[in-house]
Amino acid sequence: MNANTQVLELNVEGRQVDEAVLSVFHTLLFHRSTGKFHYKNDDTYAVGTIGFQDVDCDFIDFTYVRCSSDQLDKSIKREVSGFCEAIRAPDAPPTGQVALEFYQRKRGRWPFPNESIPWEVWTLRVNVVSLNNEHERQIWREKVGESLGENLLHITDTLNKHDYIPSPPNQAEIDLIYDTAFKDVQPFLFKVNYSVSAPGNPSATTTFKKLIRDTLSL
Amino acid sequence: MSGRHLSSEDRRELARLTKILTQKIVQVVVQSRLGEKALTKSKTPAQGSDWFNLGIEDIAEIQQETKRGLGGHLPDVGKPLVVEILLRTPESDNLVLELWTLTIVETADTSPARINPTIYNRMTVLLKSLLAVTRITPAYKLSFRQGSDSFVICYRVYLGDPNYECLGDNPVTARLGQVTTPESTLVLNVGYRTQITLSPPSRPPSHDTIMLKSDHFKTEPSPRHCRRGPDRATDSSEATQASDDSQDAARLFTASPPDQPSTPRSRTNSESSGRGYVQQQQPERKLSVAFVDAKPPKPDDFFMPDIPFSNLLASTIDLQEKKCDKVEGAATNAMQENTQERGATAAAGGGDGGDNKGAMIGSDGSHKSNASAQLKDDTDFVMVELKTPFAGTSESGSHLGTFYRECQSAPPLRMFADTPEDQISDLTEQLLTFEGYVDEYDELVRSLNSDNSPSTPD
Repeated sequence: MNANTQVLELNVEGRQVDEAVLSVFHTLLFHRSTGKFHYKNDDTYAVGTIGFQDVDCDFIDFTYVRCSSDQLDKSIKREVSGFCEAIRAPDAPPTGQVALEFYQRKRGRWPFPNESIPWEVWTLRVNVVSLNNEHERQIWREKVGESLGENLLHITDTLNKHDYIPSPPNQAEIDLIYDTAFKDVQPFLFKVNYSVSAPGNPSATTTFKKLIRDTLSL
Repeated sequence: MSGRHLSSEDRRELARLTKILTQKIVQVVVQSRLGEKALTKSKTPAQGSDWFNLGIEDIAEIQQETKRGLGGHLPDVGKPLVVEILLRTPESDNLVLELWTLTIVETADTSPARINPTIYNRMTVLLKSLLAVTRITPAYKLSFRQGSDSFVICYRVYLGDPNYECLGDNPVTARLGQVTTPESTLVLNVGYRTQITLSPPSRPPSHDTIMLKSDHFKTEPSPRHCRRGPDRATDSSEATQASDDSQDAARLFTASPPDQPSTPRSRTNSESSGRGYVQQQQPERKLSVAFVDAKPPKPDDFFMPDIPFSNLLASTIDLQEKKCDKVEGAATNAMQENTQERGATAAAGGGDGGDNKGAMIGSDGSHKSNASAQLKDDTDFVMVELKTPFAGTSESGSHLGTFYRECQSAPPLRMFADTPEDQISDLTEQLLTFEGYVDEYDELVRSLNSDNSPSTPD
């Protein structure tokens, strides 16, 4: 199965990285969460309500909506903080990417463990810019807000296209689709991956492809 | 409408969901313009269920207005649902800010999608998208600056073609998302204004353009709220005409005048209602107008000096020099007055210090060590000397403090430095000596008088 893969690009200042990434990931999780399921029998269930709340960014002129779940908020912040610290490190390269991946589990046949199959991946390419003075920061604060707004419209348009969403499972299989660890909301299973790399540093695959292309062109 | 054949029950269910979706769309859009931060709690199924599993609390008045606007019909092909957001000034001039539309197109979903839960879940995602996007348009920020003396935001709900021309020049339109049902496709769009229009006062009233008060613009700069400042432009009269048409239908839903506390806004949740009322009464709503830059900050304001706090030292020295020219008597009076005025502060800041170093009262030079507090006489800053915990009271532990005070103090004038103290004490002795010779002086004066008396004509 091919996962629906989307790539967004963000040019932000170092101190804006956390809020920019969180605003996108929280918006995605808000769309990709349901209320808690309460099964009446194996395949009949009642669904709880997702509360929501507005979050104002401190370093960006932007407000986003997230699920009213402190537990989920802490979880995603913890996941994102590693990336933010890595990209803000003194000797870190100014670019990196962080991805929010929704996946479902498939039971593995003995002796293999369960298999994780991603069905939607959102990758943020983050470029850290450096600004000289407070005036530039003020302008950037608004620019990043506008850029996030444009990205948000792209996100909502994409999320409403219904490419693929796992079907609601029966009670026995709910943990293969949803993360049931949260007490107030129930997001689809997700994980965060990140990498911080220097610009123009070609990966082995890219180099290999280039080598083949060059060979063929001869 | 086309599409695959639906059973009458499915058709009824779909119509019902479309109706609820329509109502929720209006609720979400209008509530996002109340000037309140949304906060609803997540609930388990045992605590009750909500439509589309979203904590959208319906406001009864918006519900009534929606029903009135729809007139018992549902959005249909060629008859989209329109939620119009308007800005209204105290002079009852209106300006359309946004048009949210739910359009029905005939493209249908031919897949065997079930109404429940498939279509239901799609509608849920669409509502979530609406919640997210309502926060990114300029009117969202504008809604927090409403006030009865500046402007309020109103809304209008109707079925029919939206008039995008009333959004002025260069409006932005965007598609939030769509829900494809077995009968049709519901497309949710937004169009919003990017330019506010100001009519010049010289225009004749018959032109009926938007008039804005001269004091609508906030005096202090707030970069956070100054978006799209350079986009100012003049008006298009279409906006006004559309607004006039809508005056009757437009409903005031927030920031009503204080003499009308029973604003037509009542949430089902009393907590939310209370929150809204408190915000509404806040007096800080004197506002700047949409997309218009308030007084822009000077570029210099954003530059930090090369040496942190160097300006403090410079100002202090200037101040000290000025103070030296002042009369000592006036200084004493000023000190007494200031001591009275700021006695409370002094007690709080330096209660344990007999010499009252804790509070830097604004005396005119009488306290050299305290003078830095009055870099600007009208500021409220009070400098409090740091009492470092565990630090001894001996001079050895306060080199930094001593150095800082030395920097704050102006160098003493040379004429004072050169004045020997014994000269001052000599003056006292001289005065005493002269007093001892008072009799001799009197005698001398009398003798002078007696010498002159024979020459007088008497």
